[in-house]
Amino acid sequence: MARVLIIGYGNAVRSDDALGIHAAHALGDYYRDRADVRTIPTSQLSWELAEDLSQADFVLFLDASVAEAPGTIVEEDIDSRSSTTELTHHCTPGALLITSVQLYGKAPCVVSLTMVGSSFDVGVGLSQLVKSRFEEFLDKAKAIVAEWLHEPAPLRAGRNGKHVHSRAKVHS
Amino acid sequence: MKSITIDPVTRIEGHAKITIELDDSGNVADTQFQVTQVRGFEKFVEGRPYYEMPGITSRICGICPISHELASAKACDAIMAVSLPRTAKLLRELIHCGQFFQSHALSFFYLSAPDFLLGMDADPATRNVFGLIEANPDLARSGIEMRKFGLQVIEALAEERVHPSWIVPGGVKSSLSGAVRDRILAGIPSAAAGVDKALELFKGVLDKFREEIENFDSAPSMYAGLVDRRGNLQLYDGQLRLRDAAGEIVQDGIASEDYADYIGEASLKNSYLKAPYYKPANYPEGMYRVGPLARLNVVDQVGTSKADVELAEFRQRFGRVPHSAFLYHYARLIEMAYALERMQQLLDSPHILDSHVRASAGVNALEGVGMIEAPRGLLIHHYKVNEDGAMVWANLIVATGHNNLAMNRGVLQVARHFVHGEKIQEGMLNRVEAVIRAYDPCLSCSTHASGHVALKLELRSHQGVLLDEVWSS
Repeated sequence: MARVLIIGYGNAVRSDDALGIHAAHALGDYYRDRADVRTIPTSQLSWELAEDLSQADFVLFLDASVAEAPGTIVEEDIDSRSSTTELTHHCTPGALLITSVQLYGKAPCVVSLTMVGSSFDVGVGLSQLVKSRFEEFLDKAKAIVAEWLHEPAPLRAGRNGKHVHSRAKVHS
Repeated sequence: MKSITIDPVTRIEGHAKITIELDDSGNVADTQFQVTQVRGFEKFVEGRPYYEMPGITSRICGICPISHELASAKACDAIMAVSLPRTAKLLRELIHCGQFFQSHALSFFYLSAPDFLLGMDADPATRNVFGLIEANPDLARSGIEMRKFGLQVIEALAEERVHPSWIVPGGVKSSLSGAVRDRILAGIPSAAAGVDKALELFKGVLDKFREEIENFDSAPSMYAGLVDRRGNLQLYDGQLRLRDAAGEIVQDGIASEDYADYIGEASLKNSYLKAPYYKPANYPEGMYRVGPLARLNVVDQVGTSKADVELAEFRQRFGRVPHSAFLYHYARLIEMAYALERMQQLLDSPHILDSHVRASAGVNALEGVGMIEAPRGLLIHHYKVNEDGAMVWANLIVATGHNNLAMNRGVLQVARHFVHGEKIQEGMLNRVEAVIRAYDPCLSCSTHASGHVALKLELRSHQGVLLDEVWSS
């Protein structure tokens, strides 16, 4: 059983909305030899993923967002007590966590990592801004996973060479 | 005269609203179901190479992209004038069975089961998938696992669950491995047990919904669906048959390329959704229905053992050609049983692992039609191309369109029976939604939600004064 589950989601043909999918693919390659880390790239979150959540100890969701200034990376702990959902064939990380608890009796720790996109137009490539911060986003995801696994954070290959191992909520 | 407007009915292929007009006594005088947004696929594909069409048209829907890809690929096959390799046909039908199974599971368990288990008048705050999870976690878990199985079949064959690019003109991109075949086969018994449980549960609650069965679009109509030469249910291939309300076959053996001789499309005032009708009977008398109930009414038998046992019981309970739209839910479960049995048959074929799965050709005909059964009903893609293979014209007739006249009629019947007076009761709203939900058009997505949804009823006087308003949550 994979201890860590990484789910990256978004629309593959809406520019920055595909960030989560690109990140999940990249992390899938990075962790390809690890039996304890599983990655799922997907177009949208759906209820079927609740069972996958229930089989993990830690789940990291990767997505694009619109809430802050473009390029801002936001890390958020997901708490089932404060989560809701409005639709029935599309759901949120929190709703999946609730469903995992209610149907399978398992409550993994869940973190959401998002980056604010600058373009959600029709297109298959990331915007220049998001592309320029993509490696940083991946490094942050790797650091979060390493922290959970009690492993050293991987060295960052970014512009200033620092480790990214912060639990700060917003990285602008 | 006063009117109630449900606007918007969101998250369909376009937007819709429902207007209910009341007379001075507060009784329903008329209703209108209107689709208020055009999507334009038929127009903006003009100029694109025909072989891009499966990928483009799959974007019409996120729930059943496979159906659009298959109908599109069949139209492209006709343009190429190729005969598909036998294994390509088997694999296309196999992924279609996975598509049917996951789509029907979504409709039954996620969207409609809260009504059956919790009641039409239950508090909308709990009449949703969370309420279902609390009330019957075993059923909820089973429903989730069944949809997951259907999606896994799609993913195992096409590598992606949504909008895969595996179905191509001339066949499919890759063959099936023995390991994947065995993995799908291993999942069938558990999925079949889930269908059995759902059928048992649904049959057990039917008596509680006599009023809905009697009043959910229960007037007679014609039905249309694909059958094979023996009158069996056909989802991927077959020819079109229409059967009337009395059970007589009106037309049989309509080939895909001849559909336009029998199906006309009327434009409705104030709606972008056309209203297909049976041409020989003229509009609007030529109204017919498609989808699960229509298919079971059209076929002589389903053609697989378990599903035929269930069909026999269904007909024993409700007659040879039942009309209530509420029974679409029942028919959906029977089709889920069929989809699993058909998967088993296809996977047991000695040719299922053959490697030749794609035929190649260029443009050999300037016109092609693809006709299949999508989960919600008959789906037709009709293309015309120039000699370079560029699209010059397209016509798509989707299930929601075929059922347009029926849904209009159903809303009127339900409103007349359940809506009274100037105050809007939530139970009224839910029943108006529920008759639409029974057809499982993409409207289901919009009309059944937990928590707050963008579905609003307004009650206005004939001077436009707002008398009352409610949200569906």
